[in-house]
Amino acid sequence: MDSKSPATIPWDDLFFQLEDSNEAAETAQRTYKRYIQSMRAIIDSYDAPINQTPREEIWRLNKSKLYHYTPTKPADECFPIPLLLVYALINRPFIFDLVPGRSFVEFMLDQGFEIYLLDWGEPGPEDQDTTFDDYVTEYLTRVVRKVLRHSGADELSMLGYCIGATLSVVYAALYPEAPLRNMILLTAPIDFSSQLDGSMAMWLDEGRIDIDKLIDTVGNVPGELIRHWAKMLKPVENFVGSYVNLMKMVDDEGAVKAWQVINRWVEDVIPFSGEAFRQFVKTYLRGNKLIKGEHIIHGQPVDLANIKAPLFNIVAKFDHLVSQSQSESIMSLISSEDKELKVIPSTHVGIMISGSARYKLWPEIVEWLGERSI
Amino acid sequence: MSEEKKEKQIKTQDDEKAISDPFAQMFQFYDSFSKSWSGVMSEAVGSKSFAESMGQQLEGSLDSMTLFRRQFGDLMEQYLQMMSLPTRKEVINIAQRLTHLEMALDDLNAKMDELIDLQKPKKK
Repeated sequence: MDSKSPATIPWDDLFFQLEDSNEAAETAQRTYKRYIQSMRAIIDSYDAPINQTPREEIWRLNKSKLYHYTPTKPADECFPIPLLLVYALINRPFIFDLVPGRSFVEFMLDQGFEIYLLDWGEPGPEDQDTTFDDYVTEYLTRVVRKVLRHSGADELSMLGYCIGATLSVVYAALYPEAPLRNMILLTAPIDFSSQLDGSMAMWLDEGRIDIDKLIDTVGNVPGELIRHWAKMLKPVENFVGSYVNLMKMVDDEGAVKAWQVINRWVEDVIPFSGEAFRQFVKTYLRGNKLIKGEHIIHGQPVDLANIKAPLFNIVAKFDHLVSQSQSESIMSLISSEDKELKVIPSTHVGIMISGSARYKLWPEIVEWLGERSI
Repeated sequence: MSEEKKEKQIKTQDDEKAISDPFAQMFQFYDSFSKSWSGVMSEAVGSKSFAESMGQQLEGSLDSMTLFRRQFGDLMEQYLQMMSLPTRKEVINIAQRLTHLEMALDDLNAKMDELIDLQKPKKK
């Protein structure tokens, strides 16, 4: 039997010792302090400082905002091709700019990239008719136009993360003439031909959740529901493990601060526009029309073969939200001659915020993008 | 001291610490069982039967939500109309029209930028 199993812990001895020992009061005080510290850390996490890298809002349409980050290098030392970051429609995009020292934006700025960030904003009831396609045709096209105008460049590179990667792919496939120099995809959900057990795609498959009923009733899909679904995929880690980890490191101020920002990001899930969600589930997830080449927007086919820009496709091996197979198959369907698939031993979120991301993946992105941004 | 003895000593120290610290006990307990729990739970929530039951549960709450919204929504709409106030639907319509206006303005701005660029002397 494991020496740490509950059967081997001498419970009776514990209480006997607490009663008799002079340390009882000290132990109680220490335990109480740790408990209070942990609770305070959780409460404070909802106000944890975020988006600390200096930036300026340069464009706004409805709820969407485009930010330009203040370059940290002189103009003549910067790459001439700007980089646009496109995040998903679910969480907030500050995962790209967590805290100083652990910020992808800050890292890229220091390497001489001009960075733009698209924040889709939080859809309200008036946005429930915005479709997934609208985000590409009405918003992303205008954002690209604004980035080019603001930077004075003729082309840009795009980095899409999660559903932001799907949107980037649809954009590139729909507009073959788009001024896209390079494309980087992080955990891109694109191919839904195999619905793996334990994935959200499996829950949303035909005959399980009535999507029409859900959207017709709630309008926009509430953020709380999406957060609950996402957490339910790893219940022990998300509902217990995360807080146990906090309690373990509660004396380490730096670690607690990092935990708080990540917790804020995890908890801060925004609603998903109703029609966009309906379309994502029916057209992409259930119909797999993007891969089949059957998706049509405004009479124009969304043909993955139209993608000719160099592509760096980064996939997380232990991603429980977007499986490896969902991201990989695009490699054989695009026309890009310069394409690279990288599978890294990480998770959906770890791919952007872990230590190995900071010290290994980010420098690799810089190397790949730098060579192609001259 | 041999490695085995050292390990034993550390283990004993850990156990003693756990005895006097409830948090240490909790951590020990979590560390010992989280892997197996996680496997069991992930398997459970990843099963088709779980997905189906979750869908049924959601449908049940959607049914009651629909009933409540229909009754309350109709009443509220009548009340607002009686008070000469705009209904939710009317406010949403205005907000949607504003977004379309914003889009048209954005396109106009872009066109203006292009015209200004055309008037600028070309760089040699």
